[in-house]
Amino acid sequence: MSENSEKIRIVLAGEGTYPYEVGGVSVWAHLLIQNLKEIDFILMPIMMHPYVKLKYEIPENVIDVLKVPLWGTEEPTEYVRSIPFSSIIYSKIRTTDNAIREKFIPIFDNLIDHIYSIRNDMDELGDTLFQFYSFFQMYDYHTTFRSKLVWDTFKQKIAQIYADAQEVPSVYDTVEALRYMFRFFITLLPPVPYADIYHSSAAAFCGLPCIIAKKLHGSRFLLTEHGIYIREQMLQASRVKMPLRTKEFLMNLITMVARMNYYHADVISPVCDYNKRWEIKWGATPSRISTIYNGIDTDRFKRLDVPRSPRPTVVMIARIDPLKDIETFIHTCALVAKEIPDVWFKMYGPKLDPDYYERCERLVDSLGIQKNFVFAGLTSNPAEAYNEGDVVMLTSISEAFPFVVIEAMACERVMVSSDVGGTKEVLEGFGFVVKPKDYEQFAEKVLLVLNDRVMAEEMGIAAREHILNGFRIEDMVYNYRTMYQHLYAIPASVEIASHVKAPEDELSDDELEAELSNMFKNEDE
Amino acid sequence: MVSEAIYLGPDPQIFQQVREWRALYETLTEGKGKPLNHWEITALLEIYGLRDIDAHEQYGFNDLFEFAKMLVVFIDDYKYEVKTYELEAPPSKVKRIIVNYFEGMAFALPMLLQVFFTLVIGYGLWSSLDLDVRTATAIAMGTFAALVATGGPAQAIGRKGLFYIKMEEYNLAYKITRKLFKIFFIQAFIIGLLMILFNLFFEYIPGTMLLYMVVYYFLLAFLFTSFAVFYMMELYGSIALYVLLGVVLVYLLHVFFHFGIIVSQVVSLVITNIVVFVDAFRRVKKLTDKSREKEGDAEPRLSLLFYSLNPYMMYGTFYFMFLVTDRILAWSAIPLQPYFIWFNVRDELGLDWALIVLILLIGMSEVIIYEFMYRVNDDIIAHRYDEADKFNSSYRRFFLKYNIVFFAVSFFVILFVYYGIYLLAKYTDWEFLDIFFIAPTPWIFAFAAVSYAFLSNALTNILFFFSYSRYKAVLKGIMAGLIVNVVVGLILSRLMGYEYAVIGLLAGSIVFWLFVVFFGNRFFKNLDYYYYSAY
Repeated sequence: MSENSEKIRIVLAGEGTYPYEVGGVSVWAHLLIQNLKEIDFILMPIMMHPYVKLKYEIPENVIDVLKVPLWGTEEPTEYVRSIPFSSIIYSKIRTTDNAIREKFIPIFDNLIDHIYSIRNDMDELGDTLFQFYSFFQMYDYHTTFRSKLVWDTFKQKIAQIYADAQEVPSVYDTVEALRYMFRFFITLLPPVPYADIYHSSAAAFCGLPCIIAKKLHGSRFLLTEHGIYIREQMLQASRVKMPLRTKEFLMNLITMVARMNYYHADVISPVCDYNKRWEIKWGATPSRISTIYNGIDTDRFKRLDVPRSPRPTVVMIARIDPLKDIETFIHTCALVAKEIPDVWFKMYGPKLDPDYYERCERLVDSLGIQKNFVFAGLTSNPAEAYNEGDVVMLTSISEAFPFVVIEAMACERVMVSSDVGGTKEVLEGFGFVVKPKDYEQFAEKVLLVLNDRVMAEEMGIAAREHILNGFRIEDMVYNYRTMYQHLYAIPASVEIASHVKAPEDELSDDELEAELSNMFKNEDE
Repeated sequence: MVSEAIYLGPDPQIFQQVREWRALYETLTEGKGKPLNHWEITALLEIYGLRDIDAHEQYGFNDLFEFAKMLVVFIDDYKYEVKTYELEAPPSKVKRIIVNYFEGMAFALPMLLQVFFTLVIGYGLWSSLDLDVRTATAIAMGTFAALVATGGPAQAIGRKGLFYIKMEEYNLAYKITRKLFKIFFIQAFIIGLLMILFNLFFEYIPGTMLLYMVVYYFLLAFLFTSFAVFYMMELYGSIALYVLLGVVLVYLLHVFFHFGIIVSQVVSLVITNIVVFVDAFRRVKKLTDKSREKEGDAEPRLSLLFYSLNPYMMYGTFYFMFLVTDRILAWSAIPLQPYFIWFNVRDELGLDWALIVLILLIGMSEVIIYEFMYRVNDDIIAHRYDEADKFNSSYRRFFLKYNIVFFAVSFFVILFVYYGIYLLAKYTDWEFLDIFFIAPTPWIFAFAAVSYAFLSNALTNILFFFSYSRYKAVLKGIMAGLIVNVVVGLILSRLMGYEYAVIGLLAGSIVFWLFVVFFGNRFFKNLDYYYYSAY
């Protein structure tokens, strides 16, 4: 039971999302919190920048927001308001070279070994992470990471690791690697508050406090994966053309963190079964994986009586971006227009990539389909936009579990989507799933629907029925509530928590110092 | 290519298949960095639009992961673009030295303009040669107080504002600059009030002197704090322009409207203050146009903000205390003068004359910093991790070389400044220059010029340390230098004469310089470490 309260208390940790950024994950988080009023939430947003505006009105059952910016600060504790200023000063005074050498360097050494897979013991790594966290509850993070000891130790490790390598890191790679460590592990600076459950929205650095809470408080750890963090970071590193050895360190670090999340999470709940592929490859135990699909507001997304064109209309709502493969949508239009000359393809979405948008415009011109294709811009009412179409398409080449698909289905539209991510899991049998980029197949399905209105009508009704049976917000909330209750009911079994007093009786600095000394002494023995 | 050779054999179909895989690999990696492993290639396959079923039906592998393991063989067959720092190639050496020198000079241009107009037309924006000694003393004290009171705040605003600008946190640059400005404005105001109260109790100077002192103090404190905002944005030319316009306004008011020099300067300072303040914050606000967002919900903790800025504030305060110490010691050394401090023309002339040396040498800072910056980012990429010592050694040699060059240039600059005035006095009919050669002004010039050479060299080195967030040695150095300046200057000025206060300046400058150079040697010997920890 949460301290001083009958309510379940949950820390919701995320990276670059709610409540400071908009997007699918933020929508999910906001819906969850709003609908689970009986639960107290503490938000722990890990942020890239410190000075950002709240994008959501914080619901009343959010009792605290512990923001942790990783960049844009000179002192990492500038935004960690839970640590008194006097404690920060004392920790700086305490952080001598001796303390770093004797207490931090062994932890640091162990961590580097795990990053480079010299050691590969998730239990040991979890303990190392806990020691890392505990060290910085006493000593100063900034002073430690800026010390020459840490730099020299890191250089020695690099020398050992790359002793026989052909392509070795440069000084730049070494600098960048250690700077990444400094920045990303700021995540572990704020004291981890007591909560019954820690819920991370990615297998990323935001999951690290969840692991600490598990060890410190016996909290349960629920991991939800909306996308695959490892995959997204790899793609990002590939796009920015990082030097190889910098990329290697960063990816090693990220994969280590992801594996730690998978290993220590009590339950992993991806938003679709498709995400399991990568999770299992990276060490997630299949029996711990339990998909919880996202849900939508089926009172908002439904068949609506909207002004419609008499022309057969195909709608797509997506940002204009290479990953959405608008070019396939355009090619599909060209093929369909050959059979149905007055067909109208409407593309709703923001132009996020101006170069790509121009490329699409040129393609429309070159195919001579200016009368059949329109870039309709942003829509503030996607439900209406779906209802304008006889068919809704999605041509993405990469997705997790796209809201667009279930929203269109709820509007009783026939959905023709590329077979990416978890799309097939919801759409198969209730729409059409097509090989990505295969615009001939897309065109075939679109023509099938436009030419058979009866089939389309029936398929649309069945699609909505399918959404009403498991893809509503109510279903999503019910599933998460059930999951929380299930986790809450599991008795705590904590290795280290028994050494730590209950949260009401915080350890004094001297007591914590003694605890740490014992911990390290035991390690030495 | 090596990979195909693995498959070279009797079966042309397999060879063809490999070529298709290669073509796919090339498409996947076009415009991307070198893939690390098969995981990255799997991710690239997925966003290319391939699925496990395609890996199976089209390519004969169980899934994309297995297919990616095969494609790994192509990785080393290609060169890949790497992006680190995006730096323009530097212009030719001569061109960049000249350009950077004058850009660096822009930093000191306000000071140069002030000194130039004072020497040539007899007054500047806040100084005048035509005043009686009592008034000159009061104004000088007000100026010193303003410099010392705002030295620290100027460092704080400059450092923090520039930090946020470099991090592209433009909103924070605006908000925090505004907040710091308010705090420091109040601080300067309180210091001014304390000066008034102190005099009310102890009556160390009469009312009229106090009035001049306090008026100039407030006007200059506000102006210098506003200038700090321009320094933060590295808009040195704007500061020089405002000083120039201010002097022009003084000239117009004094010469055409026949206001007294004090009134002209006060009016000009008030107007300049308003214009500079408004423009400074207009420009900072404009920076926020570049922000991702217009507002945030929290600023950094003030306690930690001041904690991190405190060393730089202390440095700024001690630095200006250091600069004014020898004047105060000299001007208080003459027995039987009306007040404890009394403006001394000979001393002031010698020091202002020597200031030209400092101004001319400041341009060297920009030259040296540029020579360092454009090389270091390339070199840090070009050196292997096990060549860090070699990297460090090359920059230690750079450090030694530029300091030697700096002092060589200083020698010629001192000679130029001395003989420039000497030759002008000798071969022109500018009689006002004759006063420069009345003893002990040349003597004071000589010692002060050498002092400023050491000081400007120290300031150049400090730029490196501060840009790498290293301040301890600098702070110790300026404190030690200040103590030596005070002790030596006090003893010598009292025992031997006011003109010997300048030896305190020399001794203090050398001590400061020694601290800086010793740390500089350590800094460049471990440049890889300081480069890494510059956050």
